[in-house]
Amino acid sequence: MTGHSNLIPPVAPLLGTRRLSGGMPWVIAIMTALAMLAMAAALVLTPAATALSGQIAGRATIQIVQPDALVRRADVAELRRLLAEEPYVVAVRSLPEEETARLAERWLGEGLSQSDLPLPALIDVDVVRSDDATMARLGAAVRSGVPEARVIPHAEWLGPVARMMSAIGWIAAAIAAMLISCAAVVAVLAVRAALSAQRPMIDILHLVGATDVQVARLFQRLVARDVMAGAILGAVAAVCLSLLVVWQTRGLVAGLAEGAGGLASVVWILLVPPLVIAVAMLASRIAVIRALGELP
Amino acid sequence: MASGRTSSGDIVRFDNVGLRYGAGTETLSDISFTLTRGGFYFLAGPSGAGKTSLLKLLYLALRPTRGVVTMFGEDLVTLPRNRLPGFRRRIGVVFQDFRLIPHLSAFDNVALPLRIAGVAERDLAAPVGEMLEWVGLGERMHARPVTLSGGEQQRVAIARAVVARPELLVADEPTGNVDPEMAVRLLQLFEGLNRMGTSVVVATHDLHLMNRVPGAQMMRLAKGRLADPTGALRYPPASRYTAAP
Ligand SMILES: Nc1ncnc2c1ncn2[C@@H]1O[C@H](COP(=O)(O)OP(=O)(O)OP(=O)(O)O)[C@@H](O)[C@H]1O
Ligand SMILES: [Mg+2]
Repeated sequence: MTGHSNLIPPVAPLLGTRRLSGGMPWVIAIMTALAMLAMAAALVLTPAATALSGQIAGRATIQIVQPDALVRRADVAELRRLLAEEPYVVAVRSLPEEETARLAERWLGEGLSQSDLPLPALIDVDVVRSDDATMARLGAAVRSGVPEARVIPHAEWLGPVARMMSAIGWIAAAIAAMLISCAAVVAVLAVRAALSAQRPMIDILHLVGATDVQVARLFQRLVARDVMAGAILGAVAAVCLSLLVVWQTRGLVAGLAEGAGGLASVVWILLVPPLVIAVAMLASRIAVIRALGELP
Repeated sequence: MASGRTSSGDIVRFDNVGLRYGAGTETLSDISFTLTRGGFYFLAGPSGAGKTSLLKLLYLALRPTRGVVTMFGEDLVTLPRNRLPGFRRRIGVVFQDFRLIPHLSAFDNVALPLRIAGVAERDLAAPVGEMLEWVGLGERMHARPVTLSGGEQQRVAIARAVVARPELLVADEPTGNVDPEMAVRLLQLFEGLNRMGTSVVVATHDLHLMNRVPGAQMMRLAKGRLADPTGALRYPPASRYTAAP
């Protein structure tokens, strides 16, 4: 009789209901699905942005606009010779003229000949570091040899793109975190409503000697059912939706996902539903214990 | 034998207790009495006198707004909240409004205090069944409260109050809804429990009932004050069953 059990056996639904409130599993499901999708976006975009930054860092293209093909070729040769002597230059690659023409064709259409339109010569340069000082030295060296050549660092035009991808990635991660917190808030609100609806029951249980922990367990069971149902439903929805998106945009996603962590990303995304369950359960448990502690 | 102020035979002691609901006047004022272990008490008084309020203090649904309440040898006013369940498990309560759990059967309602106290499922059937037999509801074990009459519900409430063999039984008008014959039977149940050592406090209007328990003490409340002209409630002689030889 003095045994201090923490669980009232669930012989019958002591609270007279097996559900907390009608809407909660649906809300949790939606939040879980959105959190998983946001997490997926974060896991694809952030590494992709990092990869892109790595690719563009320390790269520049030198452009020589010179209508006379002979002079242009001489300029290219001069620059190649000159750059080979610069200590901070790692690699130099001049784009063959046919390749430049092919590039131009994409924009200007086929059938252009070298003589019709003077195409610029392009030289790709890799330098050891991508800081402004190095780029300035490169620029000075190039101008000293061929004054009309222009140095275009890749970071100048791809940098903002990489930064935006990275920012969107972090925003998506923050959204995932907020959605998980929202799921917890929903669980807390639902359990509070249940507590006030069940107040007479709680009084009886207390007066016949139930501890707060025992009473809280009864509500925990209700919360657990609803939160789990919602999280699983949301997870299934999110997985189906992602598979659909991946299938629809095979090429792009494959390209982006190369930078992402592959299996590790999938594990992170699949961690969202258990995280929703854990956070919601913990928050509602604290809410119940606190609310019970305020009763006489 | 002297009736000491803090005799070990005391189960409950009130000292100048006052109770106020909200901001109004005091519902109970200057209540002082001692209940001896094994005693049988009737609490009488007109409607609105504060009987239920006093019982609420006894079954720990309320704490007094002033004064000192000592129960089972401990000061209840300063008792931390997390120790209340342990105390409440030693007290059986018959509420004036029964307070059965509507979606549980009579059996499950009566089994509730045992389950809360951690009694194993296989050990429930015997005491619960016996208690329901005693109150004449052995046949209605699986009925829900709504399908029971007022008197039947009251008997389920009584069975629930006594099933865990509490040290203190507090009953608020426990015979208000039953016929005189059943009232006597229920009183016998209380007396039987009392003989096994349970202290009993029964609030009632029924003078007839009070006369049936020889040696029971009378507590009379009027307008929130306890009449104790002889001082016997405050400084009781040794109780009937623990009397010195
Ligand atoms: N929860 C409450 N809040 C405010 N006032 C209350 C509350 N409960 C009781 N009272 C007041 O306290 C007084 C005593 O009520 P109580 O229920 O203790 O009387 P009682 O003696 O049990 O009456 P009865 O014989 O009708 O059951 C009444 O005037 C009542 O209005
Ligand atoms: Mg009353």
